[in-house]
Amino acid sequence: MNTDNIEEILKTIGAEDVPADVHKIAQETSNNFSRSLETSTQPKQHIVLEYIMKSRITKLAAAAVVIIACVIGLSLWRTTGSGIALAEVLARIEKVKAFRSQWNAKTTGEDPNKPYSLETRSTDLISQVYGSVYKSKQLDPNGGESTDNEYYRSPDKKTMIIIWPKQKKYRRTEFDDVFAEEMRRTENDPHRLVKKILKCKYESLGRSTIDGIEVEGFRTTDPNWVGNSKNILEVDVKMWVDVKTRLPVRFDFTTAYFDQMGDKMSMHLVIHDFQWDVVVAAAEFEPVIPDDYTGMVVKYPAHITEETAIQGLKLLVELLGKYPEIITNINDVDETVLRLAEKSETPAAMRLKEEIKGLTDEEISNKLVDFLMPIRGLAWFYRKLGLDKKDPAYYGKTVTPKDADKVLMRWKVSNNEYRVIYGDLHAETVTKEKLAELEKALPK
Amino acid sequence: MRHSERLQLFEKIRAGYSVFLLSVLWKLTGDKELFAEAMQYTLLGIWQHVGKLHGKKAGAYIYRIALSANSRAWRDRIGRNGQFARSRIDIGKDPSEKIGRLELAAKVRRAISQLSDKQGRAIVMRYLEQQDYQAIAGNLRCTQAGARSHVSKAIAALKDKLAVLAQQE
Repeated sequence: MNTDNIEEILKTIGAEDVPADVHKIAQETSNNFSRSLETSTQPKQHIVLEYIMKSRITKLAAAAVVIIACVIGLSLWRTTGSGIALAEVLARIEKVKAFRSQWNAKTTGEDPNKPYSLETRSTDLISQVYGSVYKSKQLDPNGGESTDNEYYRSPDKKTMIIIWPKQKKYRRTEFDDVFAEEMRRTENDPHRLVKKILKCKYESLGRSTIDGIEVEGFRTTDPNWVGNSKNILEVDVKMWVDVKTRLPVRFDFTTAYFDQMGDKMSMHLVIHDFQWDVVVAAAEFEPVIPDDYTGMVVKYPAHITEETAIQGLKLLVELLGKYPEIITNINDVDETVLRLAEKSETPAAMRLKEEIKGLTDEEISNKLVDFLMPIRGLAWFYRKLGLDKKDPAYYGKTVTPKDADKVLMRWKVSNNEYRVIYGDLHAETVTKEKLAELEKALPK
Repeated sequence: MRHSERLQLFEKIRAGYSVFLLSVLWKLTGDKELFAEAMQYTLLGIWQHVGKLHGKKAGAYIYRIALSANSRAWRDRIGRNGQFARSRIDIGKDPSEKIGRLELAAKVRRAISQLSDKQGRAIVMRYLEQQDYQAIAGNLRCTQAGARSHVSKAIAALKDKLAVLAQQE
């Protein structure tokens, strides 16, 4: 037996979720135990021994245990002072096939050169079967015209289609398997949010009333709410749950952190007006794109790995002659790369500029569907490392393609080890201590 | 302590630690039958020692009770057939790979059940609960360096236990 990878196995075990039927077995085991203590008048030690003897037989009928557990409403899970368990809320959300909600978000960035403020309002329809539809409106902070977007996500088809009705444009993005799976539960999905709260330290806010509904509030200020807690300035997340239905009524959260460039960024998001268990039809999740709309296609590699990231970095060097200062957001890859390539004089950039000369944005995008795929793969690879809390870092601002001994990108692969991609794009796994030395030697 | 007071205290502790027990016992067992067994022994342990489970040391006691219950559940299982309940595995498209992975995880779990109290707690806190060393040090009432040392020693002991298990097969 190979014992070298024990830590990996332990981490895999540690990351396992508890299956729903185990929740039920625990609940029933616990309730049975409590009832045996409460109802019998026999001497206590005897009661317990009798319970153990009985349970040894009855637990073999696991299916029966599960069925009984569904009927009994008593809660094993950690309850707050007034009685709602978050695990119960999670289980309740899982039973919902489709729901509608609305959200408002305000994002402000303190970029010293260009402070900004964005306000977005959205109505969402999410189905476990068909995917999700978001219709959002981004308001102009200066009172100008707003921007409307419609998002149609289909995890089964691995596609997301964005429509801009005012511009009569749309974009169809084809994702890899992992990304498609991520789309099943989006960032603001209540299921994901409740799971995140459960992983944080949280407290009860007690009972109150929202829109005439009796609710219980929960709050977390745990920095673990956001993946990279080193850059966190503020976390204040509140959720209110309907006491009767055990389903969320409202979320309200504020987060503030330093972005990749070290500028303060804060966001206030409110999710409200939930309509749970709504009846939906497949047609609601199929976008209707008028004939006069122009479209573009964006593709990601089918399987995104470390090698994809290296290919993306290699292509960036060919185009720019150096590494970009930051790994761009996955939503802006094409635009950002073209903007950077515009200023570059490398042979690859010159060829690219010649090829796209005189083309419209859509024509350019469609021409570069396959060409830019490795860079899109790199952006998604890096983002996924952050989502998986693998402590990623990127030093393109100071590291050049000639720096064979300098860390360009790194991420955690185990408790004591990091994977490193060096400036010359060779990769190796190093200890935490070695990484600390390597990063100490990086140019400031 | 009166029976009603004891019951009240038991319920309070049970509710307070239910998420912890559910998560840790499932990760330690990975098997529904073993989990139910370990949960029963844990509840029994809590009931038997309910008078001591208050104040700052309550958390440490609960850890001991849960780990001891887990060891007892594994001993009972090993006494019966010594094998991982393969029939309960949800075997997917690649059965051999999945069985191999699950059996290895089961062996690691079984080896954890044989660790000493402190080493078992160190492994649970660090890997199953994913606590940082500062939190582990607080729970084990030692320095951060001490916590690292406990975890390292626990990993070494775990390797030894697995080596012994491999020889027995």
